[in-house]
Amino acid sequence: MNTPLTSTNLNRPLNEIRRRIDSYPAMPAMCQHLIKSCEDPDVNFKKLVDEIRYDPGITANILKMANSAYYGSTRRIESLQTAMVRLGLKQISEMVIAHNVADRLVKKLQGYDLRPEELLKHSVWVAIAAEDLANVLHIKPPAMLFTAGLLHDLGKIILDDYILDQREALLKATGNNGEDKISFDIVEHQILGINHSEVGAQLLENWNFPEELVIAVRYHHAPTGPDIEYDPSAAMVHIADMLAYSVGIGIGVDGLQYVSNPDVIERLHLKPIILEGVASRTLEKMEELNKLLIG
Amino acid sequence: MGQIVVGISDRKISKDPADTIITYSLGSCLGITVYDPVAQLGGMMHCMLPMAGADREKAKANPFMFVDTGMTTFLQELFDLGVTRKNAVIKVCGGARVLDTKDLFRIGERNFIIFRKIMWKNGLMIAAQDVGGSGARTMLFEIASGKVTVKNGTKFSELK
Repeated sequence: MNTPLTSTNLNRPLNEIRRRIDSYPAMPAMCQHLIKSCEDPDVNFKKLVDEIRYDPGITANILKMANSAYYGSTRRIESLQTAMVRLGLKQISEMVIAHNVADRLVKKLQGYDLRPEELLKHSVWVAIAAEDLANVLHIKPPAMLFTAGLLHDLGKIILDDYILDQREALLKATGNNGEDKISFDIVEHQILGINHSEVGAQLLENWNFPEELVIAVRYHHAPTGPDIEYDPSAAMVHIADMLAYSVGIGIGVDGLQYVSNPDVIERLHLKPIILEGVASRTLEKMEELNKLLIG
Repeated sequence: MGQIVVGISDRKISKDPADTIITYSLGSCLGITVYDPVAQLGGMMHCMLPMAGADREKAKANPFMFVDTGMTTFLQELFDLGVTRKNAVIKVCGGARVLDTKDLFRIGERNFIIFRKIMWKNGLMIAAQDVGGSGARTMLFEIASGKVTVKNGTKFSELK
């Protein structure tokens, strides 16, 4: 059963995975346009409103968000312009991306053993918890932190079929007991030649998303190391992600088998009580936003 | 009648022998079942964090988020429904942790310590436990028999 992985039979799935990355449907152009607009201090707000108005789907979603309890809405907003002023460009851009990516993250992942909605909940958790963590540590949240959290596991969607094919080998490599367990992302790399972080980063590169996002996604399991000194987005996403696994949001065949990064823990002076506070605040927000995104 | 799902920071109680109570994806959280074969009822709780001190406001709104407030509220509800200390069969699973050399993510261990403290304070015994490790657990509880099954990773086993 357990055929040794020679370079030829390792290359076969890897080449196929690479083809899948390149053919995976991109985000609508409006997402990139909004990200760019957020970075542009001279953005023409009126023009942007007019551009969004042409997309009835996005317009409806923005109005739904602006009127939701999640954003603390008290009075009904009917116009797109008012909604956009109320939410602000940063949140508009985050939500348009969130709505788009929700359809992709909501599906069941058979290989990773995640029920429908689980990967979406996990992603939403990480987005909210990463921002909350930055706030509670009095660190100015990196501009794209929320979106980085939301997109950090996108690569799992592509890898799922291959995880299913190689499940036996993966479980064998991670080991079922003992202290010598290996982080699941490293096992993915051993068995498939690539891990979900790298797949996600390559997707974002193909979509021409900002480097800040690509780096946060690529290094969310290894936020310090030979290739990277320290990246605040990758670090916050990493801790929020580890917290999600800890409390069981989006855990499947990988269980809790991910390694926390000691450098980040030291650098941010993290304490259990800080994380427990983040977890208690994030749970309810996650449920609310998840409902909004799939409703 | 049927399958009742317990979410994170929640509990469900049933008297219907046709019911199965289930909770998914226990990481460091604790899944706790209480069964009384004489009163013929049972409940399951899924707590996320050890102590309400982490967030008093949240604990007020939802005591089941924390092991300390959750366990005392849950036990009180069950006692009100006729469960007795003598007959209560209490089982627990979860309390796992990520691979962490800095001991930062010891939520599971802390959850279990608080759980044991409350059990001891109330003069209650743990009938069976499956805690620790780094696997994701699912807990199933049949009201008719009180049988508890744990799925850890891909393996099923009865908790007894």
